[in-house]
Amino acid sequence: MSIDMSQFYQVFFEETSEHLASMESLLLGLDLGEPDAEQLNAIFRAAHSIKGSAGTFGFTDLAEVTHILENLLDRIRKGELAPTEAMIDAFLAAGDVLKDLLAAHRGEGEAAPGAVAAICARLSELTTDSASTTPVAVAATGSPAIAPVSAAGYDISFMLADAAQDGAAAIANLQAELGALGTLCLIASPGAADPAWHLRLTGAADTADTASLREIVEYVATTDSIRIAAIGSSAVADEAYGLFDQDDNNAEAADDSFGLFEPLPEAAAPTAADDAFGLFEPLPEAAATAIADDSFGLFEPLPAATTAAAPAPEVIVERRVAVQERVDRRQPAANAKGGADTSIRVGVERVDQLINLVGELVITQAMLAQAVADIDPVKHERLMHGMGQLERNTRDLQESVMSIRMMPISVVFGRFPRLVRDLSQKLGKQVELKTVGESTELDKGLIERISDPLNHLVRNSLDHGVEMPEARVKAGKPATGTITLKAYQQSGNVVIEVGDDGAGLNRSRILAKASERGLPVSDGMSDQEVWLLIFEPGFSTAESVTEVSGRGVGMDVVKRNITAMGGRVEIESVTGVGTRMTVRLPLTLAILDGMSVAVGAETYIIPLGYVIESLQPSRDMIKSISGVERLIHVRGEYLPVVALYEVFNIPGTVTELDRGILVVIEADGVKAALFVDALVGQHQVVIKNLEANYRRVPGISGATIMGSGHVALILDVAALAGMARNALPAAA
Amino acid sequence: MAKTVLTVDDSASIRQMVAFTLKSAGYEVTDAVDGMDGLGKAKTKTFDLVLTDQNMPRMDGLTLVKSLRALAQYKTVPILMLTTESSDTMKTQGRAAGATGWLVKPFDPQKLIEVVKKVIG
Repeated sequence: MSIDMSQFYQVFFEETSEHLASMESLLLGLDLGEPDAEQLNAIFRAAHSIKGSAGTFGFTDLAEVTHILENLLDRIRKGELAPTEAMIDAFLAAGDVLKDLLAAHRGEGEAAPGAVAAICARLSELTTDSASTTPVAVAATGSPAIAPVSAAGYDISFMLADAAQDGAAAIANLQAELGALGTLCLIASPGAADPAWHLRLTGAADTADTASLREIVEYVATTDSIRIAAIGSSAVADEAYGLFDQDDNNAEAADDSFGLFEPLPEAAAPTAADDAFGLFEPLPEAAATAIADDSFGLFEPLPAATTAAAPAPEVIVERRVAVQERVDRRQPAANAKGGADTSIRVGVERVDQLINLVGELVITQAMLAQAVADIDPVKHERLMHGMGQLERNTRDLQESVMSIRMMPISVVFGRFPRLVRDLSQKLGKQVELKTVGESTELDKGLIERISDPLNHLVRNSLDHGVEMPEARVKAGKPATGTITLKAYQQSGNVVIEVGDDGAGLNRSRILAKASERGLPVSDGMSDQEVWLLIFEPGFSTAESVTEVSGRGVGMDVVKRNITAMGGRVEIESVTGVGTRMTVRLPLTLAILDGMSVAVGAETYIIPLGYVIESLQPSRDMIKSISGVERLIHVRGEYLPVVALYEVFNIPGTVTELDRGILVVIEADGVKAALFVDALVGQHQVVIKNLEANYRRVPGISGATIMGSGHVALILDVAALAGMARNALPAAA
Repeated sequence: MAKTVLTVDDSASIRQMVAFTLKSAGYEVTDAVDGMDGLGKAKTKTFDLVLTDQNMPRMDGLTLVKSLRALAQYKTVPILMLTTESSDTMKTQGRAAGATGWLVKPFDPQKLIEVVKKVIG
């Protein structure tokens, strides 16, 4: 089957011109003295997106220019290169060339011949220039895969033709011939999984090109098995995709040999999956060794679903932090010269009013968008264009207004040095506090509310995490323990980490305590699940109640507060190495990602963070208690059903469970299934306070106005989950 | 019943191309504009396969993979990352996040179908 790619060109053109326009305005707005990490990321993403799509749709000239551009931008955003005026100029010029190329592809004008080569050369020059002045950058990006264009190197793969099946001699001949052109190395010889030969030719003379190499290889190989590609273009077929299904023993070999496909089907079979890959049940030993090997090991992110220890994500975090730290250093200077005349003090209520008005504007824009959704875009091109512009402007305006409420987290971090000093003295411990990323900004409302939970976490680390000096020395650690507070932004979230290099959580003690408290536990639980037990109400493993944190209230409150802010908290811990609590918060309180559901004529919004899944139940999943259908059996668990039509007294709805939809939610560790008529969609909604405008309604946390102009109520999921528990005396 | 695929990419043209290609190969396709959108849609029903881009605003591909793997219904669903780089770092990160495999951009429709077929049949 062949697919005509030209049908996607129009969308590609529009999207690319949008990216180019936003890249230009971002570049112009970039403050070279203090580049904003988020802005750099956005510029990089624009170039990256253009490259990806251009390559896919066969616009190689666009892809070529954006490839070089992207490499430079990537190094800038990672803090390996400092952006200069000359770079910005070159980037803007590259943007112009891309615009010309795009116009040419659209058939609206011509690109100047040689423009591509000229701009590529100019950009490459910047790469080498800066590389020679910043030795660190060379070390970091020296691998050929990242180098802009390495036309002198080729990856070659092929299968021997039947006629040449006498093997060794044919290969020896070929190696001699190719070897004459440059340095040839054997990447992989045929194996059971992959019958192809893989060679790499580097340092080839200018005369060598794909076509001439192909001619040579064709003597011994089947024509359609030959793949030749410049190194770095990733076009060698076998490297273009792969599956992470090799077991850990041969993982390394597999990575090197082009990520070949292993026979796959088990990957999809739920039963076999655990054995085949061991991806989902963290192996404590494996994690522990990997962490010990890594100097940053303490903060190894190990999400629940992973066994493979991943140094790589940490690298990203460190780099982000590096950028952040640079900003930190510059901050005082900027403040000093900025001073009073560059900032004004405004009352919070005036800012909030502004935010409210922008919220209204967003709603109006959504209404307009909905109103014109059915209009023929070809006939009303100008209107559609205007609508697109309105959407972008509204979004930008909203972002800028929101940013007014942003405050640096140093406001909160600033109180911890004193707290740590006082408490460690009281406890007889030696503790050093490190803070990273203090200039990370988050919404003022969040700043106020995160302070208490963080306080708890830091106290907890001090009290339960860091050991007494003697114990530390005995364990071979420095007598002084370290508590690290780290804040950074990551894809629309603010992440705050509280880490210590103390004793780590004690799995067996937590399990023992949990079963003593009557919590459902088993030895088969993953570490991640065990760690989460400490957030259960009334849980404390401290042998004696201490003044600092051992009363067993606290951690559950921490979790509840964070969840109420729309955030999440995760724990990573390795015995003897340390513990890290990671808090993820939304950037702002005023906007929420929600799932909209229909109940009768009403629409409700369920905050997405609480939703686990939605399903249409079959009859056999529904269980009754005293003749009333009250429980649902999902994935081995019995969950209470909360019928929204009952809670909110809505007539004319679906009442049989198997004819509607159940949305499984989890709040405060309680799972429940909300029964609704149908799923409507997914929206970002602007939260309106219901209490301020009406009064408090149980089960409702706020309201929003939908694109249609209707009011939709936002569900208070935690309260509904509580109702579910209370409504079930028999099951409790 | 047709197998369902969720495709997550911030590029509209790639989304269209992937959707069109997979639909013409008999799959049922839902698309999402970024990780956040993808995560939300993944919660409305359980797909047979998730294809995600890495670099996206609001939530990137790796975070999406991790978030999906934290959900019981996605523990074993194959997830492929579409990415413009096939560097070892990316592979390590992808594997660690719990992705099933990767597919390098640019790719052609045939390659996409071939890979999807290998994974979910």
